[in-house]
Amino acid sequence: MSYRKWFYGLNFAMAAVFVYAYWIDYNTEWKKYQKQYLRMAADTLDKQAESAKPEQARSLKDQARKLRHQPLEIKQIIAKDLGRVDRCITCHVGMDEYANPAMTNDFGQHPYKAHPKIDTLAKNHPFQKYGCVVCHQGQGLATTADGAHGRVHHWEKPMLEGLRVQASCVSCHVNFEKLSGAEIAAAGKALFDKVGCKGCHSIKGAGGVVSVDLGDIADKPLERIAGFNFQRIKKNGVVLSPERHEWTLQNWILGHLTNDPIEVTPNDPFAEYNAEPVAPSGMPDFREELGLRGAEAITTYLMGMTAEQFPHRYYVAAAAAAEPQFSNPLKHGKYVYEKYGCAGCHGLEGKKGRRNYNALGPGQENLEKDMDRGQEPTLVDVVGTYTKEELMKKIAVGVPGSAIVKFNPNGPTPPLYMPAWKDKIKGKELEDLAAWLLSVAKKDESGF
Amino acid sequence: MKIYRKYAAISVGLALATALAVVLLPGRPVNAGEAPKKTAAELEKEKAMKNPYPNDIGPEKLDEATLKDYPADKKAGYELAMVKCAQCHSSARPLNSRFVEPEGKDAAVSALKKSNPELFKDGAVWQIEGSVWNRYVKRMMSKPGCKISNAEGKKIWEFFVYDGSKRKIGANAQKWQAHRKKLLADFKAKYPQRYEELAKDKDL
Repeated sequence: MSYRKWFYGLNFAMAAVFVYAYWIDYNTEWKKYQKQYLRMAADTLDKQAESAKPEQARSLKDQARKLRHQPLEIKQIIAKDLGRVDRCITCHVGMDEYANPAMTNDFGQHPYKAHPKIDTLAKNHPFQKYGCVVCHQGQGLATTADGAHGRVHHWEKPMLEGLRVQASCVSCHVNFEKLSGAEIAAAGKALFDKVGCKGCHSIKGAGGVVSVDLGDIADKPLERIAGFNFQRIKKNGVVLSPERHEWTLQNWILGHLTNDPIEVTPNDPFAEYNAEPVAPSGMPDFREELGLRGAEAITTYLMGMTAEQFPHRYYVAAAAAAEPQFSNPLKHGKYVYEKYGCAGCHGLEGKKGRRNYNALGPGQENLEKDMDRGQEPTLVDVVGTYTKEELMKKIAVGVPGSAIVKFNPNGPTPPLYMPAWKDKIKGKELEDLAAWLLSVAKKDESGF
Repeated sequence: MKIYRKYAAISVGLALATALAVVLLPGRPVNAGEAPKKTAAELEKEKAMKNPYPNDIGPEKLDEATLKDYPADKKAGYELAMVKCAQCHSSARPLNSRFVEPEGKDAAVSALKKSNPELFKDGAVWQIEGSVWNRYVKRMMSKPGCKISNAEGKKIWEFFVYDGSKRKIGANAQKWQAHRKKLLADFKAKYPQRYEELAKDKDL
């Protein structure tokens, strides 16, 4: 082939590439949404013009024409204080304060609809100052739906979808439990306290020390759970999708609450080459107590647990809730039991000791199969064999893991133990807790 | 060619040595699926003996002279205690215990306080409470894996109540005091650190 033919051919190919590039850019996802929004907004104005007075109708039609000819553009909010740059309003034009100054519209579907609860939310969180992702998370700079919503490989903070966005209220509002619009997160905290999660997991130092502090769990990088097999998690009874964008911290937390943690984190209780086999997760199975809604609520609450520092003026400070006062020591004792998360190991009101893998438990026979029947003490059964002083001492000193006898001597050390509570539960709290425990002890049925 | 033979001989030798080492050396760790070397009760006992009490270094049986005057039901309780209690700790632990539960419970304790106030001065020799044995026997029974039935527990409890009244107070109070003090002194000499720990916890 002659040089001339090569020259024409390559020029033609280059022109084709340019056309193709232009075609791709012309058809980008965000342009379709923005164009559609402007068309819908213009149609609305035209419709309003039909029933308006002539002068007003002219003005409305003029506005509609402008909308139809408005150039398409990437729109972004630079929330400098918060270190975020968001382009969400490129598609969600109804939430752009410049394109839709009223911030309301009648469109029912995303990405066209206006932001809900605009009277309260926009007033307290001006969008130009806060942006979107500081609350909703996701990838603010992206300009595709999947990318922006964080449903892509390697983006670690996908959107907090639906009501889970309430997690963000927890991050800044110290008083989120009383905040209108943060009811799910508040319910999550209430459940976290009630079932006794805090007996093992502290939150920013407040709580037990058996497992990790969850005060910054929302910041946990996926690389720290990289070895975790997400396919062990079932969501609504279905194994989690192998798609990597489903392998998120949100699903990881939820997975611990909607599955038996022994199945989620089985570890290696039969390890041959470790110095000692490794027990499965010590976390009890909370499925029955929480249900899916409870698990969702706790996940929402925990997703607000971040150590990220925002400028102080973005925080809504509140005085710590006053300790309730009790004239009845037994009621106070029950409150103390819940306050310190004792139910996490001993069950609600001490009625059922929870699982402690390979500890001694009732009905164990088979050394391999029955390790998961190990159990923490059921308090209503045992506290009656202690005096008040003995109970107080037991609570203060705790029971170290080394003092818990294994069911299978060759199996792993039971993962749960009772920490020494002497620095946290003391004085009247300790006295009333012991008094309440003795009050719930089962009546003697031993025959002597 | 010769050099190849030499290398082949070395290789075969190394392979054989490795195979022998794998077969003969007891290097394989124990795994959870293998039969345990000790039962849970034995482990419990081992653990208990790692944290000894002065009681543990005393006699593990009652002498015949003492036992012969005990009623038959109390003797039966003693026999049971020797078998059942000794599964998880030494039988010396309850036999040499400072616990005394007088028959008559709290009323009997109040009466003793008036008649024999000296018995309440040294808690390391006598710990006299209205239901101390009752609580302890039940506590042991509530431990998972404890195979003591209610009827057996009752017999054991009745024995310790009777035994305490016979050997630890009344006519034998002085003898018991001397026995306990000797145990404490011997224990202090044998386990000085543990003695200090227990003294600090008022649990001697």
